[in-house]
Amino acid sequence: MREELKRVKDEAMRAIEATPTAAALQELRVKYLGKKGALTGILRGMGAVPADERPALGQLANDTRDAIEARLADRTAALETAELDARLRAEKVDLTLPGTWLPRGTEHPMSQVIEEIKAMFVGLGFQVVDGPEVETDYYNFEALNIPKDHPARDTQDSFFITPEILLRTQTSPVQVRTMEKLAPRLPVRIITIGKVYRRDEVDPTHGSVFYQLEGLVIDRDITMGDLKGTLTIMARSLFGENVRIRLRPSYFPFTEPSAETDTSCPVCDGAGCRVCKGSGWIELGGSGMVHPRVLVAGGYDPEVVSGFAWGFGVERMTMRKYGIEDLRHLYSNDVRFLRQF
Amino acid sequence: MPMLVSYQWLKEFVPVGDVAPDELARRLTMGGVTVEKVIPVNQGVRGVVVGEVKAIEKHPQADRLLVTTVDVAAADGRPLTVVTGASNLTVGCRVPVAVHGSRLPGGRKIERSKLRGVASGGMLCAWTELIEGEGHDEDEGILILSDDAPLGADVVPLLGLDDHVLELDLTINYASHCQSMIGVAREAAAILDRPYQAPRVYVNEEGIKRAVDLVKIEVSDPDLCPAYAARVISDIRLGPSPEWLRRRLERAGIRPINNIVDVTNYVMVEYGQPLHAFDYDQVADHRVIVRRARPGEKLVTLDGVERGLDPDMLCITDPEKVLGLAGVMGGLNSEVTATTRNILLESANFSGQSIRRTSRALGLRSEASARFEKGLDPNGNVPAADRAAMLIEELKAGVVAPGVAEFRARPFLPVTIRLRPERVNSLLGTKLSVVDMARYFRRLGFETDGVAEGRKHFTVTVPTRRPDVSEETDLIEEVARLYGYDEITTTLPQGAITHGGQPVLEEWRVRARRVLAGAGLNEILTDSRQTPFAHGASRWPAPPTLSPEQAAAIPGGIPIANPMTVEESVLRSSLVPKMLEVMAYNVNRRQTDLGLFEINRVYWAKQWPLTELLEEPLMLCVGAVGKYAPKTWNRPEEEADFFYLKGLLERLADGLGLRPPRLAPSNLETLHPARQAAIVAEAGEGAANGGPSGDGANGGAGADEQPLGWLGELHPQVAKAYELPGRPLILELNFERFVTLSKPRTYRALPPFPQVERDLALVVGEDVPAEQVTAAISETGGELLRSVRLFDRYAGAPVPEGHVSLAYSLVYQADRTLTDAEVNAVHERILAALAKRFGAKLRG
Repeated sequence: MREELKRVKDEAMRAIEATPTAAALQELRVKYLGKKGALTGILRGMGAVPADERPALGQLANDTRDAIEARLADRTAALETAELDARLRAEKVDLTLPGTWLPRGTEHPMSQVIEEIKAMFVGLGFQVVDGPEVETDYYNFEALNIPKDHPARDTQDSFFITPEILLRTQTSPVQVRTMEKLAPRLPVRIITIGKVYRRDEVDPTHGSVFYQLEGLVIDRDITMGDLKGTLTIMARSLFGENVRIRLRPSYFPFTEPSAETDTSCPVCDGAGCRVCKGSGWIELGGSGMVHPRVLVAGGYDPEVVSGFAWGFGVERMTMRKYGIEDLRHLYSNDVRFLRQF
Repeated sequence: MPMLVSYQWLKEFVPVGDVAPDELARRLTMGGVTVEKVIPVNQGVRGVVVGEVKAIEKHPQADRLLVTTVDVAAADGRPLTVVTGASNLTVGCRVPVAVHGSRLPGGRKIERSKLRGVASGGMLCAWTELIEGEGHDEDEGILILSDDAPLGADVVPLLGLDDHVLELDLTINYASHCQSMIGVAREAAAILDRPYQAPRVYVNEEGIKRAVDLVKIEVSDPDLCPAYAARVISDIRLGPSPEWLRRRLERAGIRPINNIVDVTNYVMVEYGQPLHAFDYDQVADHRVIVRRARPGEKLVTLDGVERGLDPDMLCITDPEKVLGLAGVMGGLNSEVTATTRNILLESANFSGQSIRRTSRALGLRSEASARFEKGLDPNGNVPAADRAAMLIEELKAGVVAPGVAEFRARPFLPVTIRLRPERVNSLLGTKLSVVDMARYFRRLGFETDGVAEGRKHFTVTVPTRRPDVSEETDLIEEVARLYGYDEITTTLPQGAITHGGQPVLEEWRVRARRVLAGAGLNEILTDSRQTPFAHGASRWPAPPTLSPEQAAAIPGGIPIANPMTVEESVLRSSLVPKMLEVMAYNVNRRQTDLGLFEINRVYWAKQWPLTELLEEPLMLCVGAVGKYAPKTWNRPEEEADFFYLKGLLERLADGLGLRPPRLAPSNLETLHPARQAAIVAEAGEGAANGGPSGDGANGGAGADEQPLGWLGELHPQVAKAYELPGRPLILELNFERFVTLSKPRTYRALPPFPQVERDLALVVGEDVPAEQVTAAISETGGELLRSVRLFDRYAGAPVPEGHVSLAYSLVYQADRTLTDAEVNAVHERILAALAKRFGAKLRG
């Protein structure tokens, strides 16, 4: 019987080695270890074995079964791994094929810049406010220290609906509307962004409609230095950490002192290049200390408070940011343009 | 007409010779006098020298050419032979000679050459060849230099070609006092802290009779003419002005004409005060009357145009006729001509507003009117008249009668302003001393009084030439610019901390933009203005704020009274027309697969004619055509259709956390009659606050509820009008009302028990709206039914004719493990209900 066991074991081991697939191994398991299998057959003859040999033989039979089982398991695992490897290798794809198309839309570059500006000022504690685009003469001019016949009305030639109602030429009317709402509360820190309209000839840098970013700060002890500081933060957030702000004397009826506001060219850092047309500076727009008469129109006492304000063209900032050379691209709404953002 | 400032001329009044023109321009700009650009007068002349014509002979081969021998003091001592076509040469005259190797403007290089067989060693130059754009048209010939021009000398410094012109871009507050050489010089002196040297004026008056005896001045409208001065000059000898004077006028952009006109222009540029010379003998009675024009009066101005005048226009007249339009242009009837023997030289102050109105009304602008418009110094007219008289006398162009005939409405006194130094420092954030501030004012030529450290205020007296400085805040600006904006320390506002934020509607707009861009759409941004025909072409409904009669009065939108073009002449009431235009624009550029959106304002009059401001609601518009997903190697293409658009609406509502709006039948002419719907809020929900003219037929849930908007396939006729191919889609809704459908997002604990899924395939009549079937399933399914999704719709065999198969996926769920028996019971109930309501049968 010992020989029988050894023979079956050797035969089984050879058969296992020779079997090519995991499925065929399963058949071998039945053949050797199943209820009608070879090993079981041998063990049926155990009754004929003398009692004192039985423990040793039983042990041998178990060892044989375990050995076959172990080999079967090893071989099955090896074959399954090999089969899986083979299958996976066969599932090769052309990795260079394009990825599956998924929709991607775009937000207009102007919207993106406007959101960026708003987020920055909200972070500084500013409220974003809104005002009508179609305005009264009072808010667009009179309250801003531009009475009828003031020469400044010539430089902002307006579109009228009626003699007293017009398309606003600037976002500054929102200053007065906001002051009227808030006075005498302090501090006032607001921005507004919206369309303004002027009868300007259209060229690569001017349109008869454009977006303006207006800001207004009113409090006790506000200085022109504060204006420079606030605008420096804005310019750095939009155009880079190293840009500087430069104020040049200018004139606006609703601010005094008034300034044109430039940032150093982020491309050449002020050295002069093609982008800044050699000047080293890029014009952002007007700014200044709120004129006392405008404070009065808004309900504040210029002897107690002071403030600063600015109004910049958003198109110009957007063009600056993306290097767009012609303002008209922004309003062409050509999808080949829009899809770039 | 920008102010042009000659650098060389400016040096007469302020010592800036050590400051290069570019640097001067920078300093002036940073001081408030904006220099737009610095233009070198020399546009490339190099190596052109003074030569003397020694001999002139006829060219042997050409009748029109001359062969000249010219001494240019060459190193080898030999004269040059130069061929020329000029006819104004005489032996002995000195001329500019462009010798071999020299350069002329535009990079033109002069070399030895042969002209019709005769060797020419260079070229004799006309003025226009040395400096482009400055025409001396009455003497086309070679420029004849003065006899003392040194032979062989470079003509560049000699002719002042080494000058630079500063082109100013003046702000309104500087326009008045910087429209003159002495005004700019005063600014340069103040900004650079250098002394200002005024022109020295002494009039040699040799006439016999005094001006006051020769002319009477009467001003009947002193509000429009606060000051008027006249000088009388006899024995006029009209002729060309000397070279230096002409050159300076050219630098200032003014064409020289004759010595009298040139002097008036010269003084206008120098002093900023326009002057006008009348032919004295044409002034009837020698009486000048300044008055408003009478209705129907006419005047032929110097440009030969007859002008109709009205009583808003101020005129210079005599007892018989109008002589000129005050401050704008003189009349032909009193023009100075070759036969003029005596002149009346006018130097007046006119109201800037009046001149501006007249100049606008007539469409006539001149150097004079441009200056008057800005408002001039009322005390500046007499000095300018004196300066002009002095020059005319110096040029031997006439004899000056003693004195000035003058009208002055009242004395014009300088303004004295109180300044608080503490106020200056607190507004600018500076720490300037009282003495520092006073020093700035003295640099400007303003007098100060009461200056002492520690004083709470002092006074500053501002001369009448600076009308822009009239109150304390103006003085603070003067300090700021002379101190230098650059010098002000950068700080940040102190004070209470505030929380920032934006209007809720703006937040919604940002989120909507994100959702739509996320769904693959491109945002567009369009003008608020359009043609009056655009609205009609789109057939979109009129704004709900207007009655039908009012809307019919402005069918194209709110008209702009003074548009620049018809394309921008009305304010739109809908985003749809521009959306269609943008789609057409892109289709024309072969971009035929489009998914676009815009969220922007439209303009609704609350009444017409307008008596108050508009409603400017924020609208959302989607336009799509073609494929929203392209055919790719692993996916089929997807065509945008009505359900794509509806899907976008549903995605938008879901993405914004809004209750889904309902679609209701509508009949817009813009849209395909069978593929359109009104977007309405569910009854009783927040958005039921429509406009007054809401129209039940267009999808209102209630009789007078305006829908939130509409969506659908474009009507083929409208698509054709815009030349849009395929089946374009349009959606527009009132965004402000749409977002009122918001519902709070609520959390529901995840169920611990398994869900049971069942499918349900039905056959119903094809006219049964799917939405009603879905609603019936939900209703009957009750508590246990958690979701219903239509996953298939099929018509055709074996489904009987006139019927469709609808296949639903149902999910059941409870707070316990559901048994099959429970689910079967509900499923059966649903089937029974559907059979009863719609005749639905289970699909076999």
